[in-house]
Amino acid sequence: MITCQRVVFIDSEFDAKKGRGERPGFPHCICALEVFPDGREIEHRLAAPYPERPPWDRGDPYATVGFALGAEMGSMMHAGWPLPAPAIDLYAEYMVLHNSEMCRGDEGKKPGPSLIQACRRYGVATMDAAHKEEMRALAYTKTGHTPEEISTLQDYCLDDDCRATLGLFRAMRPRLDLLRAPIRGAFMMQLERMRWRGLPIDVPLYRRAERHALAIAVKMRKELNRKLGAEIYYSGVFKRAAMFELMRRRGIPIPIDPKTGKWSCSTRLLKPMIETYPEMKIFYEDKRMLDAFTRLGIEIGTDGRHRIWLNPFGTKTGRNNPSTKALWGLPHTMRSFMRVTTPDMAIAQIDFSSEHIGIAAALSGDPTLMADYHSGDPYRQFAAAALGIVNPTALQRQVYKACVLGRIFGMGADTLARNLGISRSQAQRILDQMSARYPVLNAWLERVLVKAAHFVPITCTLGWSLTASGKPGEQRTFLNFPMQGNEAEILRLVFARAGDLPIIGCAHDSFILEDRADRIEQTIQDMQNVMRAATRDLLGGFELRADCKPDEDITYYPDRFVDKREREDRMQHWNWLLQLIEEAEHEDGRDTSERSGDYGRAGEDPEAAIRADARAGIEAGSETAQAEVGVQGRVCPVSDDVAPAAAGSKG
Amino acid sequence: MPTTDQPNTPGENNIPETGPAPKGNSGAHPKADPVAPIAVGKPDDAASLAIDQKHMEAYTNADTEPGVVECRRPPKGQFFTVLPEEEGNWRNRAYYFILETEGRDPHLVAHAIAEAKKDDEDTIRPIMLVRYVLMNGTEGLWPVKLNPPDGKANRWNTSAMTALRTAESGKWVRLISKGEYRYSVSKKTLEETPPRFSERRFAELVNDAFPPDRVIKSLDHPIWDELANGSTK
Repeated sequence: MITCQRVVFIDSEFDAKKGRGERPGFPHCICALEVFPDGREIEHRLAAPYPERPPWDRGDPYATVGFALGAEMGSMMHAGWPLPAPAIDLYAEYMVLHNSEMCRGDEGKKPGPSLIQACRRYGVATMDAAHKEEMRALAYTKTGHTPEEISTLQDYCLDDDCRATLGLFRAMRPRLDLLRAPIRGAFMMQLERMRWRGLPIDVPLYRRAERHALAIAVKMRKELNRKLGAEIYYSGVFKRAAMFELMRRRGIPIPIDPKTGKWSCSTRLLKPMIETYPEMKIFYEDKRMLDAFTRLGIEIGTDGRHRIWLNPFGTKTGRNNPSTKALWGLPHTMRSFMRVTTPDMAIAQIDFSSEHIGIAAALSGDPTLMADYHSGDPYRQFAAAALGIVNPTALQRQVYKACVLGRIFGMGADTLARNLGISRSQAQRILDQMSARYPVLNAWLERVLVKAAHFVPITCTLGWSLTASGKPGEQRTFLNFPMQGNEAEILRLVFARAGDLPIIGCAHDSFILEDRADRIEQTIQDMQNVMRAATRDLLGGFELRADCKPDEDITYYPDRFVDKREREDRMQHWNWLLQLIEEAEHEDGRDTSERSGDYGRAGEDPEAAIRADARAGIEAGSETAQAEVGVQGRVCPVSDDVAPAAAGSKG
Repeated sequence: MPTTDQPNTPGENNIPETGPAPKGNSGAHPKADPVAPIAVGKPDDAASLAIDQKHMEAYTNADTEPGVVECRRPPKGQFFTVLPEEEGNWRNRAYYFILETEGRDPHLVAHAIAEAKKDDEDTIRPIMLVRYVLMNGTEGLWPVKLNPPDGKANRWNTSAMTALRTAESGKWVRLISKGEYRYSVSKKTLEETPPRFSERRFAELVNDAFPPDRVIKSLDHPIWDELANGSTK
């Protein structure tokens, strides 16, 4: 614990450049209100050129408080200041305190509040919204502000935002968990550092796909109809009735949406069936690609890097909830638009292996599940034990995996039977086998449900919680809440402790790092240590595996990133996508004769020099560098990685 | 070059100070608790800050209560234990009259009715119902038969009482039938494997074991007609 004699309320004004994939603009001003124990205050009004360190940083411990600190982190990075610690983000704390309240509506979780909304919730008087908009307009719409304009922005920044933050802090303080708040504060700032770095995108190829997205979608619909032998798309419109008819004809059970009680063919409900029914796999994968193409629009900055607001705490379980415009929200095939674009650089993916099972084992304390997790393949262990054999087949393992995951996500025998294409009694027998093998887990899951049924908050390791609302169907939410909620807590702690590790992206259970090729392995090792330590600390000493296979999970310049599932499918979808782009271009009268084969490995990069400069800009954080190396708008005549139509798939 | 009228260099000398009264239109809490100092945690201390997920046990009892409580001796092959009692102040055992006939569930018989019928029905006998729990948390009522007061002890009854006394001394006991009740004592102590008695009161267990139609409180109960005249059921 740290005792801070001073609390500094900070805010800055800058052009956020929202929705453009850019780094936030250089701050027009950074202001802070420093408060001492005797109530004395010091006002700080800063503008460029900024000092080397914040004037309130005098070596003794102080706490930084802000609202949505990620924004201030961008300004501090521009100013060259280090990440302040400890820091409390009142946005994050609001989300923690009001999660249950924000989830009570019928239309999903409400979005996080603005500073004004949070202040209103706590009865703190604030500036009026019109004044705020006026100031935002001043900050966003121009550069080269006059001294008078800077002064106006500083007045607003200090007298309105910093003081509103102070008022909000006073109002929230009795409810704040000051012990754990700094972890969330550090997470919010590290998330902004990650966004600052951005994911490198093969911009020329992506722009070609984007340009022909509609034509590609038309082709995908036609192809999907052909593959399924049914017109599930008619005149460009998806026909659910035709899909249901197809499923009936093929003897495929139609899922019922638990929320509506009606038949559904949503990809969410069909996903667990794709390993059982090949047609459903085709439909699931193609439909997701198709949907992605109809709204393609990932945000890429002029430096060729993808940046997006990850919407931290955006779900009821506390996980990030980025928009569908995030590369990581697209089907896994399309993640291959990410490519190492800078010479001598490499990208690595590190993920927690079987994270939900590991968390369930640790929190329930089930000794058998813990042992099975430590064996490396808990599903295989369960299958072997249940079937009384030494080497279960891949299919047998898949069945028991579906059972384990289904159970911790509240799946009953009916759903399991449907997903696996087995009888209800067979499904029940497998579920019974699971209960017998993992009785402690079973009892723990029951306890979670009983507690939730008492409308008592289910609280995760760092304080994220959810209380039942009484809505029907909540049981499933609470069965998997401890796993997803604690997964999010682990992610936050990893970020909070990541220091200068160059994280450029993350999913719920994995991280993407970018570093120089000659030190990427050391960086991976350091990151794995952080990840493992975070799980040990939050799971009572139980360590989760942090996996990174060098042959598969490290991508070197000039290769493109390939998701594990895509690799397992021998890049069929990626190559199909490239084929569609080429066909669309051909029909559009473009010359595609220069394209060469692509199986995840690109050839010579004509823009290598430019990207090297871009890298320098990324590292230095210089806006000037960004402007100089902008690739958006450049016509890149040669992209070297479109597969010939006949290539099909590798292997 | 600074673009505002405030200096940018670090240090307090050139930073304007204001009094506690805030400027602007918000945050005015002159009588509020002081903002500083505050004590906060550190990410490095997460292990000590992690909220124990076992807290759930304080709120909930994950064991579902069975809809039926069995009135029978503890099943063979399962270790059980019972709660010790203070003489004259029993909480988890009691004497009852029970009517047991072949092919029927046992009935509890009210004391007055048992007295009235004792000469006609040898199926009514006094027993001691004792609450027990198995290692897996299942609770039941053990009807321990009592030796008659005429001094003719029965080996089964006597050995059952011996096993009961062993169990109530704080041991996990398993019954073995070999011409009498023998028993084995588990090496697991109650400290190692604490008995999971439920929160339910003894009377609730008895009520669950003997629903109203199996409690004989009058001479009009249908069981008397069945015993006297037979039944096609």
